[in-house]
Amino acid sequence: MSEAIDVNVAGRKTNTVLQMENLRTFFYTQKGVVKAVNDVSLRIEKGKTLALVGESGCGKSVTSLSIMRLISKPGRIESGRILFEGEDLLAYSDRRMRSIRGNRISMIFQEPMTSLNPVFRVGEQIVEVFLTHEKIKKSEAYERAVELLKMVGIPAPEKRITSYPHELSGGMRQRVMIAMALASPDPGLMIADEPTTALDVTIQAQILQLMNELQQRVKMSLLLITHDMGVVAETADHVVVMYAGKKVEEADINDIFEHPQHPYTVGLLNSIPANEKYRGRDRLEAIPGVVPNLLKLHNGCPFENRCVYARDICRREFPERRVIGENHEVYCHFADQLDFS
Amino acid sequence: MSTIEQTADTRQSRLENSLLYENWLLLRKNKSAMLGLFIIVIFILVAVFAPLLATHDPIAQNIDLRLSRPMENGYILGSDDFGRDLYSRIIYGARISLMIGTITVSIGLVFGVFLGLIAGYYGGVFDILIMRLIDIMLAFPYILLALVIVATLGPSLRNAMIAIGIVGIPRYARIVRSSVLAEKESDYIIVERSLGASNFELMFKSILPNCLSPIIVQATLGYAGAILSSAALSFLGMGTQPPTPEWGLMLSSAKQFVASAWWVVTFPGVAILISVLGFNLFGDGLRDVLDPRLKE
Amino acid sequence: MEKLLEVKNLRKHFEIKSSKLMSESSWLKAVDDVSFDVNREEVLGIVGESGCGKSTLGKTIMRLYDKTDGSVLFKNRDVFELDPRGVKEMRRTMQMVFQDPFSSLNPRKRIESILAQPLRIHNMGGHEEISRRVDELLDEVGLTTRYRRRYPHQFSGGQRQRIGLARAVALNPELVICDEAVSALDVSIQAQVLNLLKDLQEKYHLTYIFIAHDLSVVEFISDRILVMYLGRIVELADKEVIVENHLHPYTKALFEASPGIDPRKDRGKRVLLGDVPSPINPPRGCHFHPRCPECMDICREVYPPSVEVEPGHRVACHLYQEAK
Repeated sequence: MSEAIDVNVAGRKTNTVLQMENLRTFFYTQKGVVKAVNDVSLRIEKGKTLALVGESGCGKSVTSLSIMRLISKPGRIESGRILFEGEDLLAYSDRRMRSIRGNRISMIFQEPMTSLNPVFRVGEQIVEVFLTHEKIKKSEAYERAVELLKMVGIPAPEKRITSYPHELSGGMRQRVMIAMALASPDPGLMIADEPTTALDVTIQAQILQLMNELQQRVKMSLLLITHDMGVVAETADHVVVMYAGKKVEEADINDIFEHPQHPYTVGLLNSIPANEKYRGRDRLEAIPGVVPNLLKLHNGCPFENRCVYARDICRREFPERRVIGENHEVYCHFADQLDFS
Repeated sequence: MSTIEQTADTRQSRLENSLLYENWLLLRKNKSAMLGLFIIVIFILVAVFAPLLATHDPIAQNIDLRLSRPMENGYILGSDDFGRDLYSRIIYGARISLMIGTITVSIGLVFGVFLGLIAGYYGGVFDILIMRLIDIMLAFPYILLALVIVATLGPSLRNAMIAIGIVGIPRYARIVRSSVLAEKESDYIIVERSLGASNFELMFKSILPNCLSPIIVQATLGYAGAILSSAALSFLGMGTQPPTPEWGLMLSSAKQFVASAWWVVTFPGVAILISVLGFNLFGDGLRDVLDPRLKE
Repeated sequence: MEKLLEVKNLRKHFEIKSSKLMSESSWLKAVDDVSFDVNREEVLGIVGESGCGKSTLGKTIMRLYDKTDGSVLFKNRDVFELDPRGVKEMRRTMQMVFQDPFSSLNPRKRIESILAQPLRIHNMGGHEEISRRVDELLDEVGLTTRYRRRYPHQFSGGQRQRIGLARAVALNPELVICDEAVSALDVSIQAQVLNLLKDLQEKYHLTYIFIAHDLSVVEFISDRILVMYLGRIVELADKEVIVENHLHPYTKALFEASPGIDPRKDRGKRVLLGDVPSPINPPRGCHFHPRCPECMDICREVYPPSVEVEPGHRVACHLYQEAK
């Protein structure tokens, strides 16, 4: 296994598990082209959690599916590189990609109800993951499956292993999904797409805690996709904010909450009722307007129509990258002029 | 306050407003459905303009020229054993088939939809009664039930249509009932009820329009079924009576000539084949377009 | 403050018919002995996780479900005792906004028809007048009147929710029950709609019952907060009181679990164990006892009575059995 060493934004050397460069994934629909992911780059360090945050339509899910190369017609990965441990996934053959999926890169989804096959027992499904990627005996696979279930906190795993998905609660199912994602000898990257959105908040807390623990234990790298800034606050080391297919800001966890610099990031944080500033107030500082039609985007900044600071240039040109701090970059024409403190 | 983008409501966007239009665009891409539609259009045109298209009177006999071959003696497709022009009979047959389809589908639809609505919406004893009735009807083989009804009323085209129509009721009733059951629990129905809407308004103006898709598909396929059923009944002598130029009857009367005068049997058969195919293709295409939309 | 709504010992149980022959059916006690009041022009937030019964409670209050027991007094009249005319009148004054902006609007109707419907049903004027009011309502909620002939699927989720709100206030109701009204919306749109809810409340002097599972949203918009667990009320108090001084262990767990947005503070929280139980066979004694970190012997046997520990603050927990 090669270790890719790369130079990050501020010039320090780190260990990189995934480096995505200028990814473009477009959907060619009847009504036109949707640039779901439009020139997005990001980097995930080994053992760390990168949160990809944004609202619906921003392209975060498509990004994760692109990494797994699960994009099907009418979508297509147009250009870019996705370096997993130094090698470009986009250049892999289908067969090689299949050996990676579920093995070195695994994914868990939002709806545990539909991600598990309802007609197979839970144990069978985990064992299948083992058997697909390793040549071991079935009995051994079952033993390891029980171990995994224990590791993800399922009580009485020897009994649970024979349960059907519908016999388990949402939280339990999500734990099984996580177990399946870990069912490989060398898990490199886990991609979690809104893993807790469909769960009750007390269960969400359990799952997030589990993921944090596992990450410590197994030294797993995690790409967490979410729209919930609260989840980000609890789990992420580094954050990338997306809007309408573009990356608009990127920073370490504390910086993004304490010194957000893109008007959208600021607006997003302002839209959250849990924000301290709303104690005793009864109106939120909401972002006006709606997300523009992805079929009819201009070449400028997609946030332009909702941004109170927008000028002509914002409509004409997408801003260049501006580094404004350690590991902190933003894409805004007025990044250095706006003061959000 | 947010506002939607201020674009002018052009004719283009008004067209796009129509749900029909969106479905049409999707349907257009399905080649077999378009073929089916083409056939149906031809079928309807032929039926409507029959008098203009026919070359002879469909029931005029000419024993001297009986069993003429196609293109012989001025008979484009030949003549049958009574010397009647096959081509004209088939043309007029289209008219008969169109009428059969329309009337039988209407009977099935009107009563079926009504029963399905009541059963699905009110549930309880209504549902039980109506569904038992439907189950009994469905327990009989389709043709047998139609035969029984025709036998009771007396064999004729009119009674054949009534019979086929009645036999078709259960299908519509079931479809509507399950649609109603599904829609009844929708949030928007709960809302409309909470606004004070009456049961009548809810059933007919709110729920029914949302059940149209499967009904339309069933009706389209119903035309195909009606043509076939009518042909079957005529074949058994229980439907249309001679000399009406109904395709099934034409087939039946020509049984004996399969070997000697193939055209008398073949052309009516082909007419049935093509028209049924057309409705089936179009109906399937409709189902593909409308069904996934149902899940939206 | 005048009481607009009084819910007394309300129960709503659903019978689950057993699939096995000769077996007894079990009961889903969605709402089990719930009592509370709602004052005029206040926002009462009802918060709880899945299975707690909050949605069923809202629908039962609206008489969209038949009650199993208890009473709901709206302006001093029991909604379950009303005759059909009384019910229709009640429908005019009590409205509901639903969670799913996609399914709460009839997909086959244009929005002008959707908005005109309540006005038409309650005879609020002739064709012209109703049409004018439709324009007014669209304006009220920030939508262009130009699009009144469009269908719901042509609008975004947030816009559909606005239409739902416009419909709810069309009849000038007094009480509006919001059942997860913003839960399905993106955060930035949610903020807009929350503001709109507040604006409408001020303009129309509305009273809200705001049902949601997101504690931070409930906290923001409510004057008083009611916490439910498995069909029962576990705690009820003014917002500030609940935020500063929540007593019930479940309320504590909810606050702990709700993600805040301060990464420095929010890590390493204490997490509540166990699954959210099913309301079909709730645990004996206090429903929460299997998951409660402070569970005592009595909790396993006896359901704790609700006690007013200070004026306006009720808790149902054996830890707090004395009124101050």
